[in-house]
Amino acid sequence: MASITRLLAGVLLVGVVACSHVDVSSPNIRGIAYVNTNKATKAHPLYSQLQDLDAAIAAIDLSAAVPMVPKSPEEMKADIASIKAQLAQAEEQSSQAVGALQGRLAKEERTEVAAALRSAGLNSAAQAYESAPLISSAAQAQAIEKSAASDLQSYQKSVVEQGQATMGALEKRLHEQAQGRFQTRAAQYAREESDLSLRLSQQDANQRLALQTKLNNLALNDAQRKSLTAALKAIDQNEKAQVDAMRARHQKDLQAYQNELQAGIMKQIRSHATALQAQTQTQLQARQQQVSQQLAALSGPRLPANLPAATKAQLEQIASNLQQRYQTDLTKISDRFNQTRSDLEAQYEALNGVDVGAVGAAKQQRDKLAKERGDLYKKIEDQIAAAARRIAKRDGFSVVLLDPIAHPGGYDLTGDVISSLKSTGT
Amino acid sequence: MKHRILAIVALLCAVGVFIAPSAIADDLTDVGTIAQSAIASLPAFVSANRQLTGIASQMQQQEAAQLKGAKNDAQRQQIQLSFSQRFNDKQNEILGPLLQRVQLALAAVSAKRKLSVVVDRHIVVYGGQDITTDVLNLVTGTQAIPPVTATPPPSPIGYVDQTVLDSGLPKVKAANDAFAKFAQQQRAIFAAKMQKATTSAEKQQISVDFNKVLADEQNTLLKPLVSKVRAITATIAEKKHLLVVVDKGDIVFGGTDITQDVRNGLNH
Repeated sequence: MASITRLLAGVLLVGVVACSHVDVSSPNIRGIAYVNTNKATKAHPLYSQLQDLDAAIAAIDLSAAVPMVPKSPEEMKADIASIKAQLAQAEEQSSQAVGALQGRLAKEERTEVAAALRSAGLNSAAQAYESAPLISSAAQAQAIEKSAASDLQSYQKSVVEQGQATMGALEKRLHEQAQGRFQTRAAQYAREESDLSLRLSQQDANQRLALQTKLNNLALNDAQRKSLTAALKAIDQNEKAQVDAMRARHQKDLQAYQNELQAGIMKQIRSHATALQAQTQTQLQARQQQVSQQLAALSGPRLPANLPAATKAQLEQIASNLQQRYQTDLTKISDRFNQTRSDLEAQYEALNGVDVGAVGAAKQQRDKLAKERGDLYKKIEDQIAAAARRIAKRDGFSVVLLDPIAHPGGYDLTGDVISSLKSTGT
Repeated sequence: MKHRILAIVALLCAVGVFIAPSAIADDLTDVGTIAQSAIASLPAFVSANRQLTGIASQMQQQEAAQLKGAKNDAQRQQIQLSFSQRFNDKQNEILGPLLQRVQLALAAVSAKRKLSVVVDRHIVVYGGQDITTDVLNLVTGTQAIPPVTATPPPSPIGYVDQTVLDSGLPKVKAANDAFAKFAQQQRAIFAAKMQKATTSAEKQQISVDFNKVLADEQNTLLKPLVSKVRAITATIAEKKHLLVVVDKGDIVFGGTDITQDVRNGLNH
């Protein structure tokens, strides 16, 4: 009897609990429930954090509305330097990211192409393809080309400098030789002139002595003295005239000799220059050829000719896929860099007084807080939705809507959701 | 005797609980949901929107050039009106056929699934029939979609176009304008306070105060109007035997439009 009573009491308890529960199928509800997310959000345990973030964002917005105190030239200089450094860093990072992307895709391409060659039975070609030196990126290839070009340029420069030095030395030597010859000739002429002068002097010595002796005679009258003096003078003039004539001849000869020597030097220089130029050209061409061969050897693995059509198509597909991925990833890298650059430009403009406060560090901070706020709000929203789903499933609702404008019918699930959020402590 | 009564009560409750849903078979099961964002992401829409963006940019330049030559406000207004009309025409020309195909697909899927209303998925956290895939398949298919002749059955979910209410009601517009002006004034006042603040705690407090001042004013100016609109909407919805009313932007297909009734109610 007691057991029947307990059983009935149990059934009654279940029945009463069930009866006290919401009748989701009543005409005024018809399986519809709704949640007021604003109310549920305000009751959420994380709402205070959301308010703090809102306040922090509002503080930045308010600060942005305040006219900014102009910065000192030192501060401006430091800020501009910092912006430039950040931009350089962003460029470097972007460049590294592109290099890494190219390297990664080059390796993938090698693996995929080798696999395609193997699947076509071209094992040796696959092996050769894999073992060829890998230029993993366009940047690397560019760097190698740049280095090779630089080497070649250095070599060119050294060869040219060497040629110039050789020519310089030759020219100096030829000039010294010519100078020596000229001086020898000039000395010879000077000796000849001196000899002539001496010879003439000796030749006229007796006559000059006789005239001078006569002039020493005190009994001479003026006319006689004058005549003797004129005769002496005529001897001197005659000697001088002969020596001068010889000197003039020598001068003329020396000038001609000088010209002849110069012409000889030029001829020899031209001859040597032509030979040297030919030699330099040969050296440079040889070096250029050597560099080209080295670059060609480094330009990546080669595919065998006459591949089967299916393999060709497969390789084209691989190339196309990789190219597409490259473009996509490159766009992402580029977008990231452009965003950074744009932010930095905005900061720079801000330094120069354009829309101060709405940009720059304040903007970065605001964006960061806005993102945190968005993430937190989404977390709260997701938890509200999860709680609503759990309750709706448990209670047998067919649809749960968020934030209707009006709700003459349906069941307000907000209270249940809030209780659930509080009980689970989320 | 006592046991018998208890047993009957318990039995009735238990039976009531277990058979009620099947006995009252008009639970709302004819609500469809769709992710409108998935439709907007279709290549055809993306391409059309890109094309429209280009046209808009071009037209803006032309409009700016013509506005420079305008001699008075009347001419400026005329130019703006003309460009706005031209852009609308272009929009209809480019997006019209796509939207029409989406509507046909929505109608076809709704008819097949016997749905009275389709709402955007973001306002539904539980239940409803997701028809996104079915609609996308039809829209992206190559075959023509035959129009559905039957209109969707009346739905207990109603909707109002809040933009019509906001822009069409002078009181709402005046309240919005007054609030915007108030917010601007307060921003200047609190910005000055913020400039004097030295610690982050002070700054935090100023921004909390600023938000509170705005919220209070919003409650004073806008809340009574919002409450009034909601009350009238609820009354009309009840008269029309609707269970809930949502914004028009969330309704994709079907539903009961009560915008005009609410507007009339507010004007009385």
